[in-house]
Amino acid sequence: MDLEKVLKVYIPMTETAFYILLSLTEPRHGYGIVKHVESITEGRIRLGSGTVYGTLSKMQKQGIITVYSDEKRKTIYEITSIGKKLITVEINRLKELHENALKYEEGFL
Amino acid sequence: MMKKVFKPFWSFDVQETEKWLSSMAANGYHVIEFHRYTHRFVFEEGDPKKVIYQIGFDKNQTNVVSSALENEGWVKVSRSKHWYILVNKQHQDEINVSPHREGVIKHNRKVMYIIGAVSAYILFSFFIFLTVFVVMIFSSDPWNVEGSPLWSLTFLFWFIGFLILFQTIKLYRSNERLSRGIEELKDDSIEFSRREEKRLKDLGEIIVKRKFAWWYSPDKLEEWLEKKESEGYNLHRMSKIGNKFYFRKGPTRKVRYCIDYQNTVQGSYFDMHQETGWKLVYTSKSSWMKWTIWSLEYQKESQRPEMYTDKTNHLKQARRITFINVGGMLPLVFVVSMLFSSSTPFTMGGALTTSIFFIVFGLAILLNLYQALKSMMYYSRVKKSLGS
Repeated sequence: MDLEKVLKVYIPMTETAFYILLSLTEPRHGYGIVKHVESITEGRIRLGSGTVYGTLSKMQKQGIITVYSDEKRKTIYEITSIGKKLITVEINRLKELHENALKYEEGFL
Repeated sequence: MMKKVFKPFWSFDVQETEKWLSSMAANGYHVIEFHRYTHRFVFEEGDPKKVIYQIGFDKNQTNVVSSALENEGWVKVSRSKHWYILVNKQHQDEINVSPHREGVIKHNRKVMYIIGAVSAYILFSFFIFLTVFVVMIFSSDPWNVEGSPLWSLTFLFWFIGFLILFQTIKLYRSNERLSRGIEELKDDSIEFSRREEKRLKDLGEIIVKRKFAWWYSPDKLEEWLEKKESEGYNLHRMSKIGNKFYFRKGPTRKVRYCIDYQNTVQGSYFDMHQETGWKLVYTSKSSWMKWTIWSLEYQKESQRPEMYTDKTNHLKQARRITFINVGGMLPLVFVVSMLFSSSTPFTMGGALTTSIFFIVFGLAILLNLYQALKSMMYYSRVKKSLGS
């Protein structure tokens, strides 16, 4: 899929998709992704293996991530250049939301 | 100096082709280009070198040499549409990271089904002929074969059919070999010898329950299995066909059972769930339209674990299951409606044959309608539980 189509499908991102992509700053095993997300959200998000497998398969078909095998023939997931562009767009969107949230927070206290 | 080599059906056994490319390189011929449809490989003459090749298949136009692969020494040689060849100068044992095999396995499986169907169609006529021929030889009626030059065409037709059959088998074998490193499909049940199991059964330690067509209401089966665990009946194993459940008397446990359906699975499917703690209880035989039962024991104080934590994802899964269950009966409905609309069954037999026909097919349709209804009720239950 080209970048435009991918942006349309994924922006705004679900927490699941966002955290899965965010975990791929380095190539990881599926289980590594689940553990990483659990630790950086301090246990709030524990991704189910079915959800991760389904999301990763879909992302792979769309060209956002790519796979390869390690020496034990286990699957390792890696982000592609399109995936990197996608997560950057989403991070910038979240930055804008965050800045505005901080700006107007006091109005609701 | 260039050399062109024609290698027919090179994609049917990629490991063999890879070995062939390496041996060519050891003789000084390095592949620089290849064309998938014309089965042509172009070599450049140079110094003999020991290199490893790997052939892959990638549907997307992504860069197939990711940074991890690049660091491991893999270099792209050539790409022909979806197929690509990578080369690595290191020794086989030194290579830790290699391209994924699943693109090739998936594609070759599709090709195998298609050419398998073609060869089945061609050889079907051959077997009809063979049956008729054998019957004729053993019958007492006189018979003769009409000589005709067209027989050569028929023989050619059948010969091609057998050729395609051999290629199908070759594809199947090479795919099995490729998958073997990836799919470690041993389920996690404890193995008892048949005798030990029978002894335990007679003692009442092991009980067997049959469930017919549980896949129409997977959530009900999950609840039933979990209830049995909480009553002290631990699921010990299942029959290969998936209709019998063997329970062993044991401690009351809190176990989550998850029934999952996938249109096709890759090896990474089993890795993913097993790595996160799920135990494989049962998986259907074919790698296509796969039903798998997973289990995960959890602490009494903890929450019931879920395989699908994302609501949209979960609903999509339920929808897929419902579609496959309802869609599965369509061929039967189609066939029966064709039969009912044509007049053949009614003219072929007497009133008895016709009524038997009616009853049998009528029951089959009713059964299928009932199962389709069960599937749709399953979907609405999941939808309700997700609160959407």
